[in-house]
Amino acid sequence: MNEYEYISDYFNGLLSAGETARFDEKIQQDPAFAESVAFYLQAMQQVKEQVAEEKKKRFREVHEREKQRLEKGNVPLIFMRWKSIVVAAAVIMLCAITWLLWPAPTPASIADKYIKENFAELHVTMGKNDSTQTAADLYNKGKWKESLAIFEQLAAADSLRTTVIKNAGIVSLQIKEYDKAIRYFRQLESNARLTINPGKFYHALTLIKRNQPDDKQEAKQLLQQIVLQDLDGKEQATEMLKHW
Amino acid sequence: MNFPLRALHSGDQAIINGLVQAGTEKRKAEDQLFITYRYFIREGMQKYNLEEEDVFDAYSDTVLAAIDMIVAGSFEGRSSLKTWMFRIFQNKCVDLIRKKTTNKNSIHKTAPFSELLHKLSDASKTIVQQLVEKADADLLKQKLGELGEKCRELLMLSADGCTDKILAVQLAYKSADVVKTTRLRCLEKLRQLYKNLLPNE
Repeated sequence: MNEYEYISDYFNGLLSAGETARFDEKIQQDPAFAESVAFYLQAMQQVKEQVAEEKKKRFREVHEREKQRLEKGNVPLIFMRWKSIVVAAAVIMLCAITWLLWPAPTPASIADKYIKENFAELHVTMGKNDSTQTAADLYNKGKWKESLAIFEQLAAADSLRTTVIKNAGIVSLQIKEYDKAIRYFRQLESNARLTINPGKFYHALTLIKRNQPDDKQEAKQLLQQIVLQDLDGKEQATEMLKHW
Repeated sequence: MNFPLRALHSGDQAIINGLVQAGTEKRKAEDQLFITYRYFIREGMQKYNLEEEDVFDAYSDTVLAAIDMIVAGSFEGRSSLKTWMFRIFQNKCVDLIRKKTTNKNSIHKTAPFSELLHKLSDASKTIVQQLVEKADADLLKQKLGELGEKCRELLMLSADGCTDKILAVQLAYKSADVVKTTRLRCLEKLRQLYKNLLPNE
């Protein structure tokens, strides 16, 4: 048996108990053999260290590669996060700026909005083909003064024609004849027979639009009455009072 | 090789199965093991306040020790691979901190021959240890580099845990016995190079 085969078999546990004992004795008795054993162990250790060194070199490459891969993968992620943050911040800023710069609703702006949305057209009972219809048609065509002229004639002829009174007031309001409008709305307001009577609310709207001294205060009182008495226009009155 | 493993994570089991193979399979499993618990490096840096370079060495040593133990069948699967490896890693880090002030390089080396020497009686151990201490490790390292590529590969694969039988298949030798004879001849050749009895290749 080759000397190294003998040494290798010993360290690999392939020798019998007797051979193992003799191996140990030989180390103590044969210096050349002991030297061979020492070299074998040292060589094995050296080879193992080389193996470890090469693996560590490979691990280093793997480590660097993984780091780069994660960094590459993270860039868009970080970018995406930053992008999201920037977008979110911009939206918040925009909202804040809008909130700060956007005029808060006032009784006047609510009144304007109401007039624009509700007084754009006048409606009369379908099928009617009388002066009321003519006045309404004129109003709807933007001929407010001609419309008012007819409504005034009709109102003067019959002060109980509530639709005529109401429309006369609306047209007067639109052409900024506020005193006249107030007169018509007061007239409407005083008609106790009506189940739906927006007279008081229209009166308040006109006062807000006229905006003379004490008009605001009076309008506020009217609106408060509307809310308290649960009259027509209560919803808008509440909104206006909220922004008073 | 059968491992009495209990409730191992399927990924860990795949790594272990790969480690006991040879060639590319083993290499892939080693790399996978390294990658799987690579985050230990970050944890080690935070926990022990060490430089990345040092913790990388400690972690690499952990992976190498784990590979050796798994191949040798020392990992019994009583705990998860992660827990087991983290214990080794912690010990490596503690060793690193202890030895950092003395000899930084020595921590990367396993205790020389400890595994093999314990087979000898105390008297023989002393004789061999004294002889080893007299030897020139750097020269041996240099001569190993000068050994032919085939011999070097054979010795290294053998030291990495490949049996002669596996090497016979992997390196296309006729039989395991031929591998063994060649391997031991390579060792003899290395010794002759070391003793300057052979011209460099």
